Amino acid sequence: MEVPKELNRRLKRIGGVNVYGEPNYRVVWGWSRLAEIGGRFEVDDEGRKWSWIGQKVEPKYGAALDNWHVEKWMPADSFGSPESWERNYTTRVDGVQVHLLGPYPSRGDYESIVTLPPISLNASACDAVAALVDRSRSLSRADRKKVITSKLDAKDRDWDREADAILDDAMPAFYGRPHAAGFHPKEKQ
Amino acid sequence: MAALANAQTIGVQLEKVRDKVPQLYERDNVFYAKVAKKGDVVSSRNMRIPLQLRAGGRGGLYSPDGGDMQRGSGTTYDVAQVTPIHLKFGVEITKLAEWSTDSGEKAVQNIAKTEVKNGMAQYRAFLDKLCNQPSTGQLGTISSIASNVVTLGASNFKASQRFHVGMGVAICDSGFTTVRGTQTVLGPIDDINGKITLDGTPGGTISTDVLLVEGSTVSTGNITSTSLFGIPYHQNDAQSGTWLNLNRANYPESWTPSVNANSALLSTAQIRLALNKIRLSLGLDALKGVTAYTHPAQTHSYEDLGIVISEIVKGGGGDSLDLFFNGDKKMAGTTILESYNADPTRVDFVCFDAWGRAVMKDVDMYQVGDTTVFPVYGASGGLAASYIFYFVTSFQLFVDNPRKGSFIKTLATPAGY
Repeated sequence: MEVPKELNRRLKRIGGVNVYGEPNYRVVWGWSRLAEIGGRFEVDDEGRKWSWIGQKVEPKYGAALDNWHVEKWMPADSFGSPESWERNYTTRVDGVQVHLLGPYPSRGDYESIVTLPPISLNASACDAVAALVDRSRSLSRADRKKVITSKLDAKDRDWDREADAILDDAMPAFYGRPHAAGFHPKEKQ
Repeated sequence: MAALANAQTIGVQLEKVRDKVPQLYERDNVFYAKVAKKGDVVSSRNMRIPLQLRAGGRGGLYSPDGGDMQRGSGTTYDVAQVTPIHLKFGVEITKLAEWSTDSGEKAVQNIAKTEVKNGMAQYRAFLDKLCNQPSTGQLGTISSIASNVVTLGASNFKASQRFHVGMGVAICDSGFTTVRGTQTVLGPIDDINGKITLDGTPGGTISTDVLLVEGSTVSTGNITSTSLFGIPYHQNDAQSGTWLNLNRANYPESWTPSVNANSALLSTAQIRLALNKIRLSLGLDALKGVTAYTHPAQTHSYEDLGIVISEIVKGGGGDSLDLFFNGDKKMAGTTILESYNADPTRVDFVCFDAWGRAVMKDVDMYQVGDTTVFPVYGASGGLAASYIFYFVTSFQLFVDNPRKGSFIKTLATPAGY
């Protein structure tokens, strides 16, 4: 799937560019966004299992391949130092050195900040994405914490309402007490 | 004569009682709610889960000119086993509490009705807490105890993630040789100082003793009872011990992939590595349906990286954002599921499709004939002016492929948690 050029142009206008002149925000298609991974790859070939050790390039967002991803550029130092990258993400498997996450991202890298459904990126969709990115840049830490806790509280309230409804249905009217209803006829003129 | 003062009019003033009673404690049941929807009906016997663990067959070159073709082999199968455990939750109300609140003229809430609802919610929260605690039923250790106030030993979990007011705990020695007694947790639960208050202290209780789920049993150095097989049991990278009656040392297939954060804060690289470890074992397709289950502290840590859009406002501004979002945040494409009961030092990538429940009895009220509410008897043998009811369930959790998940462990938590 191809990203409308206009969308990425708008994101570039809103979010600016990094030190390399690349946009700070962009939209990519899940299947097209590739990254290197390394390790022992286990293969199940119609019941025949075997493995091999090495590096390969695969879609980065394996859990959301059929989705658009709005990505934000992160500078190299957000991934730690080259030494810590080497220490934490390089290992030996059966004597073979593998880079578990590929080489150190010395020019920084893009990370997904929001996953969109596989919709058509028409004009109004592009407006929405651009507005979303614009709005998100001004949130404080306190705002972000509030969003997390309010979602959990909302779930609790939903359960409460549902339980009340179920129990109200089960509870007899007037708390089960005997009662009588009457009416007062209109007075005769 | 002095003017009429307010004190002379108290008798005719109405006492306003707010008609809303806020819930001042959490009752999260996020994880249990996800697995509660599944269930294989079982008896009291072990449920057997056949697993196809390893490939077989012997491939190679051979000479058709009379050459030795070598022997062959076949697939390795084994069986995991799981047995339901039995859990209960008792709610007791006095008749005075019921009579005092059984109409709108007397009270703002009908307590009998409210306690059925509260009991159900709290029971589910209790089950959810157990899903996040060790399968041994161990809830904590006693660092010190004075006047029935227990200072808990160090743990990743706060006190309120493991205990709630009214629950029973068994206290045993650190060698697991004897249960000293069972006590009830009273309020308050002090998360800041890591303390709980009990209604008594069994004789012989010392610091280093262990707090277990009520009803736990011990013998000769082991906890002999079993609690729920939750996250720490199934999402486990241990290479020794047992998993569903299988010897972990013999089956690397039972080791859940993990990433050790070594007390660092959450980073995108750790997340990618944890997800990649699933792909290395099971291929790219294995990530479909994976959910990032974690404590709000780690979600906040993820947001502190500055790479997630936090504000997803449904209906805000009337723009077409409504078409896109259902409010679910993502972590590298996986939906984030937060729970206050989760381990704040972990992020677990869970494939709920691989989880199941062996259910003998689903959550229900304990019933004898048509009776679900039972009288309480006083010391004299006569009735006490109270009644009691129980929620019960018998089930156990299982996973049919531990490598369909992964986790990041020993994460630091951000400031404020």
